[in-house]
Amino acid sequence: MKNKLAQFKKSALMALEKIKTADMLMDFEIKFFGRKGEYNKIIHELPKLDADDKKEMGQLANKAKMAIDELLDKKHLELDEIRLENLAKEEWLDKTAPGTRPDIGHLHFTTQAIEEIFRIFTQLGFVKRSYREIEWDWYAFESLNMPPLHPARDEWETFFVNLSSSDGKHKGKVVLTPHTSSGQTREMERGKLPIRMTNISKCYRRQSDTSHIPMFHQFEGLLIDKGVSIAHLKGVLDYFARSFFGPERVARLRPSHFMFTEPSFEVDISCGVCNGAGKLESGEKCKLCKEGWLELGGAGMVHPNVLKAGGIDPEIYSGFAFGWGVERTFMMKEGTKIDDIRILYKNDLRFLRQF
Amino acid sequence: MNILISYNWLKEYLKTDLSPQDFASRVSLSGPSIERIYQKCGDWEKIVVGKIVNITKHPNADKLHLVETDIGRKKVQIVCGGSNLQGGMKVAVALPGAKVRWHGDDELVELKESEIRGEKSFGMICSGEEIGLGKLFPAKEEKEILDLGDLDAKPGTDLNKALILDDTIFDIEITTNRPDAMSIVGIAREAGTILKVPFTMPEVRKIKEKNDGSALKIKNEESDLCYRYQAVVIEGVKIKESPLWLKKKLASAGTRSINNIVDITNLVLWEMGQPLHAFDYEKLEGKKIVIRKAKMGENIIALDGEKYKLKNSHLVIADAKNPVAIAGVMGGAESGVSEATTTIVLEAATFNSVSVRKTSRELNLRSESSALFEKGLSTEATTLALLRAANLIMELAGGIVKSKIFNESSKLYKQKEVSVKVERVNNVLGINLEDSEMIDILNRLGFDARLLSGEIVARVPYWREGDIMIAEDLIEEIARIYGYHRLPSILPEGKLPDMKESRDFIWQKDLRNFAVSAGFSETYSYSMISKKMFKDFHFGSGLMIGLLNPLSEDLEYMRPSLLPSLLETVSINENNFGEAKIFELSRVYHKVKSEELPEENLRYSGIVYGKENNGNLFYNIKGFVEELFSRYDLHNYELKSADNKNYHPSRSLSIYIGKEYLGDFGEIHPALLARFGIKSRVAFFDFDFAKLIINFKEHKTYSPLSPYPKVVRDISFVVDKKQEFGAIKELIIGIDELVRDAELFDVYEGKGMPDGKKSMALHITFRSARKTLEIKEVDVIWEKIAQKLKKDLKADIRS
Repeated sequence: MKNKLAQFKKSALMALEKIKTADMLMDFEIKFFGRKGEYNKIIHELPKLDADDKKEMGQLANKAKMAIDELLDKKHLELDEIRLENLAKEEWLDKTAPGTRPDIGHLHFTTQAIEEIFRIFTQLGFVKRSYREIEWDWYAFESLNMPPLHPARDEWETFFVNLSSSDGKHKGKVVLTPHTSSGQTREMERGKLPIRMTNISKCYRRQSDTSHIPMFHQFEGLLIDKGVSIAHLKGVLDYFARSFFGPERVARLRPSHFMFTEPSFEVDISCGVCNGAGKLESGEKCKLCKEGWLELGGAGMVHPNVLKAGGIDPEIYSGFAFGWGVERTFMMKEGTKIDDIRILYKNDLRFLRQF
Repeated sequence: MNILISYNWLKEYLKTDLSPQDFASRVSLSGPSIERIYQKCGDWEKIVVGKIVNITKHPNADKLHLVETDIGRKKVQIVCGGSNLQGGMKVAVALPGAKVRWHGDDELVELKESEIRGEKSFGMICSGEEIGLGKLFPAKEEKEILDLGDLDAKPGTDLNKALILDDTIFDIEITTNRPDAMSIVGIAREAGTILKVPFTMPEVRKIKEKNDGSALKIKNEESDLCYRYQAVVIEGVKIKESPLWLKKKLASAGTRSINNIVDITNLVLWEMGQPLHAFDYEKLEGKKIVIRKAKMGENIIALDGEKYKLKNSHLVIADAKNPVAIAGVMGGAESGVSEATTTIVLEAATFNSVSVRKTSRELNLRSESSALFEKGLSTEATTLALLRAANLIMELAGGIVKSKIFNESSKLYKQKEVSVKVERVNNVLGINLEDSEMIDILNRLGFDARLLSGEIVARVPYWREGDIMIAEDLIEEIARIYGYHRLPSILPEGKLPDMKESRDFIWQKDLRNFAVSAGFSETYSYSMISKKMFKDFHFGSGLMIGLLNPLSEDLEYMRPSLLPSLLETVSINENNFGEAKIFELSRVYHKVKSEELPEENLRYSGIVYGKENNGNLFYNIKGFVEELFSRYDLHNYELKSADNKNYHPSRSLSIYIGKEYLGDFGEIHPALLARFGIKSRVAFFDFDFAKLIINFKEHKTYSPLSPYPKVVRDISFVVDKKQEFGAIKELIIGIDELVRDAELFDVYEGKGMPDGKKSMALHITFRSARKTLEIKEVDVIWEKIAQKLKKDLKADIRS
């Protein structure tokens, strides 16, 4: 038994010295220490010995193993070092071959626009709300100071729905909301003041050309409180202009006319291409803007008749509202150069995957 | 509405020497918006006046002519395709080296002496567009060249000198509430107030009326629709071409010249914003004017040459027999001024705005006149306009006044008064403006304003009576003239609303992001679908919500499901992308009752499509649904066969929680795909958003991680082809509590398998919550599983 052990140790150490590769090392480990290896063969014989011998041989076997193990560890380290030195060569890859891309989808252009606009206004304490898309004419027009047959209604190319009702003061014809302002009276009717809400919703108008689509999204902001002034509206719009378009951009108000606000404003944003000059550095006229300004949308101080329609006393409360097209605003920012807005809702994946 | 205003014309009434750009930007900030500036049109080189001598057909081209043209020093041949060429006509000739805009393009092109279809062409006879005169001399048809008419200039004269068109045209947008600003005078008044420079009205002299009321009889039968009707008869007028200055003014506003009388009425319309009309006196039956509603069956041929069928609701101006004008919209051709006219009736009236608007829309006939009337004009505006026109007529056409100025007035004018508290103005502006400045602004605009114990009381000028109603209207006037750009910019303070954002918005974002991370791309499609779709999909017609005025047949009904739109998206994309995943989160619409608003439900729906028909699409969708539900900790759902004809009969499932139906998923019926012309196979998922999120867990509970290792053992066996995995899994997991999971990782059928059989391979996971499992324990359970599968499912265990 002793001899066997000595023989085992000697041949193991000799074999170990000759090892040059990882494969050889693995063969060595199987041959000497595998389940059916040399070492186990010796160990399996141990039970046959008497008690004293068993103990002595056991200890001897263990010693031999430890001695070999020590060298084995060294060998491992040695081989590892060699392997790592050659790593670049051994594990060369064609780094110009394409990567394996994860299968990830794309959020729609409009969703990205909506989220960004919402983010800015919620920072100012505006609460996100949503309202109906199919609505009584009363909310879409009448409560907004536009009685039936009013010529101002012509500006909204409204779709009418084959539903209607003859009873109740808010009823009558049913429309697809042509603007988000239909939510204004709905919000006021909740009877909770102050109001600071934002609403982005699908809107519908009878129009279809390169810059108009029958379904689009509009953004609305409504703030009603005591002592609200035009200066506050300017504050909010400037904040939006800087956050959305960039720190160097400014908003301006121009006179306009809407039935549901008084005074009413057109909101412009300074042009990002010509920096508000209306002219390029070359002296050419800027093709993107009108004399240095881009039209963003409408705004105004809520008309007293609208406050009354929403059950709010215009002697105590005042407020402002603003709103504009989401798609157009986002296109203005990104300079996406989309020349036909209708492509947005055609759902061609070649388009969708660009965003 | 946009109008064109000549800066030169404007400056006749407004003292300013601002550059057009400065003028535009300052006025736009406080008044009407000047959207475009057309710079002085005359900036031509090598463009001269030419006179056509002779015209012959081009031998090699049907639509071209060889035009011998006198250009002063010589006569040259020019090839031209103009449709209105005439011998003796004066035209604008661009000589070689001149720069022109081909067909009105933006780019300037330098002209060269050339040959066109084998014929020499020395330069070009220009259209208005080609030399930037499109706005001044609008062409009636595409191929029309510019007719310089009676221009007093010899052939060869430089065009700049000949036309003296050194002007700027402003394209101005005027809001509907400001008809008073839709004129030279209106803009001059606005600009004068904004720029603080003097503004004067056109000179108007009184005319010598004849004290003769018998020349004309006027009867107003509709005093609710015609508030005022003024008219005067002028005899001995000579109809001729207008002088160039008048033509140029009209051209600057985009109006064509007709003859001196008609041109004068148009001039006054643009100048003062009051439409006028001139009738041929001799053509008025009975020398009578009756303002009445049209009778059934009455027609009129209007000045545009079209015949209009009138309805009883339409207001007309009639003579003793027939309508001679559609009130406020357009005059009749029959009674219009012609070359033979010697005596005219000049009309200035005020009509009900709604009536004009309705008539104009019903007849589909718009005019500069109707555009003004339908916005509401003051009864006080007619006299000045009538006098101004009469002055000009006598000056340019001769003639003397034959009658008194008739004046049928049904509405007594009373000046309006509106007041506003000084404090309120400052509250809305957010600044402290002196009351004297407020009053000054209003007075410059033509108000008569004064301070009365903290309140500004303002008498409203007649031209603003339709627009200024309440205190806020005065605030707007003060604020805009003071300048919105001068107001401070302050973020609102004050209390935040006592309302939390609905969690729906967060769920929407979550569900979108979940789909995107699973490889689905988001689509947005129109909410409307066609009638055909409604039928093709098995949607009950009781759900139909239709549009009364659809834009097209494709967009006629509100969609009750996102499926049609998503399938349409598949058919758009399947040629470019053999397989793809798409989804949409949008509302669908369900009718409740015809007297109630419909339900608007948000749906979360998506599609996976591909070419292969091996059931993988079904498993793709199912895997998505399983992952979705486990992500939001929803496990107690039940799957049942879907009862929906749009689905494949055996590859679809509905999801329930108890009795509540959440939605369904599965392959779309191939017959439906075929109807759509879709070649791919399609799997679909469709959930009611509101029901999903009620059952989804917002906050998850944590289950402790077991400290003991799991043991995974595989088992493979052959069973009946139709054996469902669901039953196998249930059987295996039910055998012992140490069995934690059974996961199918391989199914094989076909070659090497007995008929009607398949082989399945599973990973079985064992774990104890109390200790590390021993191999022997696992062996025992594995054996039990094998026996049970043999016994219950007649499985042939392979390993």
